[in-house]
Amino acid sequence: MNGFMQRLTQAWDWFLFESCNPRIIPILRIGFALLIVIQSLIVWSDAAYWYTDDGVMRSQTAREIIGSGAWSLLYLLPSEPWVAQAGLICLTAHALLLLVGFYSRFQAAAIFVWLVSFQNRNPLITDGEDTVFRIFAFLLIWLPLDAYWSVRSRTRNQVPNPEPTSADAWALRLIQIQMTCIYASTALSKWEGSTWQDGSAVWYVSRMTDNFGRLMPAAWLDWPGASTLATYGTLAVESFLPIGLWIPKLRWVAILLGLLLHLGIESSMNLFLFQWVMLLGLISFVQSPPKKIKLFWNYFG
Amino acid sequence: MKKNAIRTLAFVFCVFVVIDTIPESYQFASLPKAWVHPILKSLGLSQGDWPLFAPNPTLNNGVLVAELTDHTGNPATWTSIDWQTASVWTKFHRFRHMNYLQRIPNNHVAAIDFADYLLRAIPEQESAKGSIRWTPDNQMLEPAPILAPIRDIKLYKYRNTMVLEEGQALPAFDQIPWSTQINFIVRRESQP
Repeated sequence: MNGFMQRLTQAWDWFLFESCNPRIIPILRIGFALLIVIQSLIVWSDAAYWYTDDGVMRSQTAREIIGSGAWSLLYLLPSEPWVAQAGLICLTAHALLLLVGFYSRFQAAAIFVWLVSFQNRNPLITDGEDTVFRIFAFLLIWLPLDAYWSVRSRTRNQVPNPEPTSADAWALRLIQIQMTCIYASTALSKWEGSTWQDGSAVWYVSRMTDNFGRLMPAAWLDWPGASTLATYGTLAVESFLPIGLWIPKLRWVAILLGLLLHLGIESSMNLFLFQWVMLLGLISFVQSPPKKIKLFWNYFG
Repeated sequence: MKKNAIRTLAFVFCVFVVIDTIPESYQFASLPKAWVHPILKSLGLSQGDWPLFAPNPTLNNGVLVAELTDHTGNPATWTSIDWQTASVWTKFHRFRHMNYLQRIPNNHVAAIDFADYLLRAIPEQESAKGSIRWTPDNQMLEPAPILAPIRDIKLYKYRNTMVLEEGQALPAFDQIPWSTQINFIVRRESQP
């Protein structure tokens, strides 16, 4: 029994501490920070509208909708426009400091607190992307974010861990698990739907005219076989990703398919930043570039 | 010590996230989900399952319409953004409005707050069109201006749905017969 537990712990240790690539962490940090800045700036003009009692939802109603156990700094502060705006300024400032890599773990923690606070203050305006942002913010706290491409890394002695190893990048594994759960959850849900089984689901999605038709007109899906191909293609890719992303030989194929899936949705639907934060999550699976890309990079770089 | 804490934290996170994201339709998971979700919620880490147009896409096209009367008795109409005609930029920067307006009809307490907001905000912050009765005397008149405060308001969802017969082949985009269903949401009166 002891031997079994020891082997299990060794396997868990290998999974967590010996196989992640810390060089991609700054890409996550910068990408995440940029998306938070965009999100904050977009909501700025509506701060009072969404997040005060003078706006569309009273604090009391928000608490009733979201239920017990949820928390928000905005429940504790006066429900005034200047408070909501000050909160957004703080969120933006933390995101900008995260972007440049200045005490980034603290910035990620502060961003997490503000995201939870704003999302719980008005749960009716949030969707999947907000969930991903919130959970990524929490997971970024545990990564050595300032090690590369940061203000602090320019003076190496300021960073507590200037050369992080795989052991320091263990939270990347949790981001990968999070991404896998999203793809697996949506694939399992879709397999139960009759329209996903008969190949017509994307045709119906294309008729959601409020959201659909960004760059790709809905009429394109009237071409013979187009909506069937798109439906089964989506189902196949979302079913493949939770497995393919974990098999080293298939990982690049899976990342590429994920990229195509998200860019396809981005070009056809208006879903704000959801596809971009998911692409950021896919980057967490990058171990090292394939040989051909390395050769290309070495040759031209 | 630190390594053990990380091992445990990571293990617990993985187990909780896996349970929390199991689709709602999987009955065997309902008990552990009911146990895990509140814990994650109190930590700010709850998520639930990820249907994303599953099990089947639900059409939710339409607008919210408010019929209101100002304090002089003039009727007027407020209409939410028509997303079908909105630009890509409007759909991007007002994306949260789309989420909100699509969910209002399914959430009575939020609908009450929204109707109360419109009572306060029309005509200064939200614009509404005054309407006139079409009698032979006044059909050339401009609608009367709306004067605050608004006396009462009735909120409706005008939902655009496709009319498809069972067994019918899926029609091309420009041949879809659309019909509009009007659902009453809530009525509110201004408090003196």
